[in-house]
Amino acid sequence: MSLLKVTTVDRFEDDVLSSSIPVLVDFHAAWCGPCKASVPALEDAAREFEGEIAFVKVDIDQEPKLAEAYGVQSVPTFILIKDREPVERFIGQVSRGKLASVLEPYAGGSQ
Amino acid sequence: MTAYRAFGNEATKQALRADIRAKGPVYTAWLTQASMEGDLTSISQDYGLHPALARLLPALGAFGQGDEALAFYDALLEAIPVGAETGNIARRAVLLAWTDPIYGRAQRVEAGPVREACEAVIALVRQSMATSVDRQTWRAARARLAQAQREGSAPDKVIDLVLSLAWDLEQAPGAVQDAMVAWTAQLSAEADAADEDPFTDAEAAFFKSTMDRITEEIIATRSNESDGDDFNYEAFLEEANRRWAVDPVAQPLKLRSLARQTRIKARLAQWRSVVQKKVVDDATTLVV
Repeated sequence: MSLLKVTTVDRFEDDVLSSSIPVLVDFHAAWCGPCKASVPALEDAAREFEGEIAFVKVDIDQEPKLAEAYGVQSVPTFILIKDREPVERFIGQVSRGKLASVLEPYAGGSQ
Repeated sequence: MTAYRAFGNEATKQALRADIRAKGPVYTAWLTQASMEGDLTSISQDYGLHPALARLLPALGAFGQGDEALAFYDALLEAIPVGAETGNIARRAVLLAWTDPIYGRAQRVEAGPVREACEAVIALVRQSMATSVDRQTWRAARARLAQAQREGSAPDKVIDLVLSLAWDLEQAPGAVQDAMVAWTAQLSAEADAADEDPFTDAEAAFFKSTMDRITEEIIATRSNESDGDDFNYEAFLEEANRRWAVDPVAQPLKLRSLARQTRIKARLAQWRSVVQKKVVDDATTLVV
């Protein structure tokens, strides 16, 4: 079962903002090749950080208000949210190495 | 260690080789650009190849951009004995990204904490060939390298590559693809920087502005026409090439750019050929 949870504007408060652990939000689109190519790395990272960092996906075409609220201008855009605030942001296809270097400082409640 | 055993039987092995030689459905799903987005679980299940090797091979063959890799695939599959465990072929192949005397990244990182952290990762990759390395050990190695990079300096792309090596390939086999993509990007950038006919800054700026202008013109033209749905990428390229060709100032730059891309591709092909040969040679040493 995938650890990448799909979220919506209605569930964003519960899934992301009120989360007790940091949440990496993947703003993506169905037509975006680099978004699809990033999924295996995200799945691996979600397994690696299970219980420490949550992973959610937002389809920008389905949830334009969320994309606008976070200033998403291209996909994929990844925003790490901790205690309701964006703390990291990066764009483009991601590798496991990139995910590790960005997320590990926030894993295990270390920041 | 996983229980993937190559092919299962000789007939399956030969059927796979035949499919690849004919660029059949398995080849198309596995060894082309489609694999970037695709799930390769079935390759491992159907053919007993370790998931890390299944992820490595498309990248090592340039994702089917040309037919040059077909001979490599055939030679490699021929060399792998039925029943062999193939995970360590993938591990030894990605280690070349650090250790190869010509193309390896070890020579790009100066002595100091960053290099020591990189070498700690490489030591874990070697260790993982013989015994399982636990998740916390991999994570500690990645954290050490990331911390060393924050406090020191080394090319970011090299660090990204080494961080991509620092994963348990039993749990995250796709990390080998990350490593290969990062290695390719670095070698491509080096070939570009060392090219015999580089653009000046002014030429590069003019080339980019021309490319942006042509793209915007085509988009604007197409958005005013009713058959936009029929306008695919190939049609876009054709139209872009036509516009470059009629611009007497931009066209010479375009031709120089194309020539440079050809030279860079040739250098990358040379590198791939070296790595492919080492992987095939490695496979010939497998015993069951």
